[in-house]
Amino acid sequence: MSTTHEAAAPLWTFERFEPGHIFGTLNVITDEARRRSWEAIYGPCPGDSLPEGVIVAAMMEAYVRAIQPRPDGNVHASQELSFSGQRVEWGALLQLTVSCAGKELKNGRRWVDFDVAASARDLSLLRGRIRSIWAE
Amino acid sequence: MDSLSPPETIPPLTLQTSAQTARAYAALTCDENPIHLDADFAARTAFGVPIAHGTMSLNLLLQAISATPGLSIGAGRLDLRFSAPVKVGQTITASGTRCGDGSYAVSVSTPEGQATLKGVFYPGNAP
Repeated sequence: MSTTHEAAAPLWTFERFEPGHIFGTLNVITDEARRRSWEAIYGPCPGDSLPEGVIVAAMMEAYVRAIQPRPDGNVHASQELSFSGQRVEWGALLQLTVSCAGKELKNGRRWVDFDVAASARDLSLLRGRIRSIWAE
Repeated sequence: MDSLSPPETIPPLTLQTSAQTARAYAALTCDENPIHLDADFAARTAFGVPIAHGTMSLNLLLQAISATPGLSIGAGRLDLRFSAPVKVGQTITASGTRCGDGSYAVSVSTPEGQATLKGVFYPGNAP
């Protein structure tokens, strides 16, 4: 009988990031629970159209889920967003692809750019670039 | 302003942050970083207290743009910098002013006037 030990996934450190690397594509369903969380913060959301901010929140969820484990203390420094103008309704399944766009050491800080592309039903919705100062 | 002119301003839209909104935003984004949620953890950091998720402010700005008559996010672009942390419990206000080139200088600020998020919104037409 052999025993196997599943190794813990290695921490995502600055050294491991490779520009062009795709971390994966994640699905996010914009269901009633998500709508309740959104409305708990921003108030009632009339109509069926999905607020653009819900796509941004899904972008952040994909960014958090796709890159794990990660060190504590990363800083979200800046954000670029480019919307397509396509609209979807609550209930839509969003697909989000997370990739590494670049990295640089500057003034002693570890800058990493991540791209997230959001779509639904093959419609492109949003491209976002998250610029982070990585902790380790 | 006539009916065809773009609005000169994005009227202020305010959000009172709280531990409740921080928890709701964590649930929304699966971002359970204790810096946003755990006062004991935050006390051991440079911030000293829990800070709001950065994109909570960003989404308040998107809500402000969407609520502006004659303006929509459409196929717009935003270029934004998180300039200061928002302490959980602070009130934040998003607003903007039209620039000569048709873009909007946008920001999210505290009542003391400190910008926590600032940048530019470039409106675009929806397809």
